[in-house]
Amino acid sequence: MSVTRYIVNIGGEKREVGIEQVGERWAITVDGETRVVEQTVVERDELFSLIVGDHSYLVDLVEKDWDSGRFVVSAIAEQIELQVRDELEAVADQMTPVGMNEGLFELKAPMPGIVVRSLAEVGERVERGQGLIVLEAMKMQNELASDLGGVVQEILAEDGQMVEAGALLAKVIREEP
Amino acid sequence: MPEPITKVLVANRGEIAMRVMRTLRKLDIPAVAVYSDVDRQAPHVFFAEQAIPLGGATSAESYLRIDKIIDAARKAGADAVHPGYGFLSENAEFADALAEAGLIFIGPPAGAIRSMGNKLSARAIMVEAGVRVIPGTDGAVSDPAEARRLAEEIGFPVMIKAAAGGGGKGMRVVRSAAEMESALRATREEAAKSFADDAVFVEKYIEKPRHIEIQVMADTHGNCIHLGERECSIQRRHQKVVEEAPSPFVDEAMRQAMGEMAVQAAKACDYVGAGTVEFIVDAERNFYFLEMNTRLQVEHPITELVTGTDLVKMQVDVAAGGTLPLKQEEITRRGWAMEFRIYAEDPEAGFLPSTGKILRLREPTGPGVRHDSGIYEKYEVSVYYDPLLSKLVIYGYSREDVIQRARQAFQEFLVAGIKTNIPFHQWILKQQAFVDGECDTHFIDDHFDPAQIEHDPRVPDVAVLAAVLAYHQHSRRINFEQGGQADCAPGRWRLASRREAVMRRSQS
Repeated sequence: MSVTRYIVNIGGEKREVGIEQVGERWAITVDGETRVVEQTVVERDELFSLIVGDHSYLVDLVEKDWDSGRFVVSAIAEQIELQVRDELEAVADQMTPVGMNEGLFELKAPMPGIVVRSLAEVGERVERGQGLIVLEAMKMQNELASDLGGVVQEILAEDGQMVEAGALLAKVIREEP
Repeated sequence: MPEPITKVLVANRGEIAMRVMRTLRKLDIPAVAVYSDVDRQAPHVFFAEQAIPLGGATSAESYLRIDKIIDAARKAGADAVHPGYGFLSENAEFADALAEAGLIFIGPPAGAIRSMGNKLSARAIMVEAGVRVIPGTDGAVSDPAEARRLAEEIGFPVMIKAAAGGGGKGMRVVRSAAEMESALRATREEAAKSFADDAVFVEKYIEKPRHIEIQVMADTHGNCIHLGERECSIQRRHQKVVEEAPSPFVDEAMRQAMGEMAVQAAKACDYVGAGTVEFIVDAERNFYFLEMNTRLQVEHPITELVTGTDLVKMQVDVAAGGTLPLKQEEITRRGWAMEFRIYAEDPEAGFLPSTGKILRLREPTGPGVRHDSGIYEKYEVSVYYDPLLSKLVIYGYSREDVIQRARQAFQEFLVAGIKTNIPFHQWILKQQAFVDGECDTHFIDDHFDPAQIEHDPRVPDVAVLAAVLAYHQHSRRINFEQGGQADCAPGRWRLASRREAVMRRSQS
């Protein structure tokens, strides 16, 4: 039996993990610290009971995407997002060109709702944190702000329009000095 | 003896529809649900004996349509309608329309709804009945000298308020006569700009206000009782978040005085059924009538727990013409109760509403835990209605016991897939001012900081272990299915396809 290595991205940090089956249990090493884990599968890929040392946890895989390795995991009534990559996948991810989109902010609807109005016009200069769109959901109006200081390149939402979660509403590009 | 009620249409949705139907089932009265197109999968539809579609998605197209609800009641053969709270519960035209259709409204007479619905007329009726209201002017003020004279009569600090105002706009605190002229001018200008009406009035400003309300219940035979107070000072932007009964601020003498005044208020508008008289209370324990809510309140369960009553049953009995089952001296109080409203909103992202599918739901249980809920696992929270998902109501023998039980209950309360304000409740339960019972209505707006929400440090560690295990096992399973060996890490097929992906990406 050999150790398989993974890289986990969690809360903006990377953790190096090694996992090896030892009899009925698992030896899992996270950033150099090894723990013995006994796992009972309550429902495959869904619900596990873990006994780590002798501490007991019930763990839900609330959301999972095996291809990207992205998970939402819940334990102790809290939820957390993370991504698991094996060594090759981690290399592949690093090859993805980064930095291409740094000068662009795309405002997406965080939830389905109705666009009440836009607060900025195309060509207008906006600060980071400045409101771009007012979206109404659940009887409440929410101001959606730009995450980038720059110029409004596009407003894709019309007043009164019903939008789904994730719909692209506006684009802001960094202003060239 | 009047005719008993034999079937009730519940003109509402969510947790309150469920709450009302539970009592109906207890009384062996069949319940009829109504639902919008969006709500076909809402739990109240499954719970009811009969369910009638209203069509439409928005409230205006469905739960607010008086005509459709009356048609549904007729079609289902219901003889009474329970409105819950919100929607049509405080709509006098609805009460009138039901009466015209020969249906019983499980609520107050239309006249009481009308007179309490308008702030000015409510104030006038209360003044007439000898109920204490916030000292202030009855009409509009425009002359600074007149405003100064009135403010001195009332006593500084005072508040200048736009008559047409609302939502915190068009209000200014004035602490001395010298500030009056500029404050008056500024408020009138703001009122004219925001509400196209520059009428303003002067009212006493209550510092460190608390919001304390009294539950009343009246029958058609002239009996009216109160069931003690509820403290509702934990609010965010005028929306209640946590309520408790009794109030840690109210002593027995004050409770009796407030209760008597609430009964007086209910009698002044010929009230019948369950109602709530809201008071604003200052730091010196002076209390003033704020408004009367002519319906069952969201927070009614805490009163039920400490008085051992079923307010919905009383509503049904009284609506059928019965007499109140209890006299004032028979109302006793035992223990303590708190209600925590569970909203679909993210306290760590400015309380942004959160919608979507509830992927996991694990509800707390144990001694003193009541969960009045309008959700279930796999239920999709829609964008169309109020974000209130459920109410966690905790009962205990003392206030301290309730706080301990509540902290414990939240540790076993999992709602996954959408964001809820559960972390906010865990924050408030740790605040010393809250533990000491010393919060006024400004507490959250002044003190809440999302950065203070604590996360259990064990969660990321456990999550890493669980996710790596699951991912590892999944990969091995896939390899095995693709003809690889289960016990050797990434199979050849997978490796080959990955190498290809790396090549592609490095070339682009």
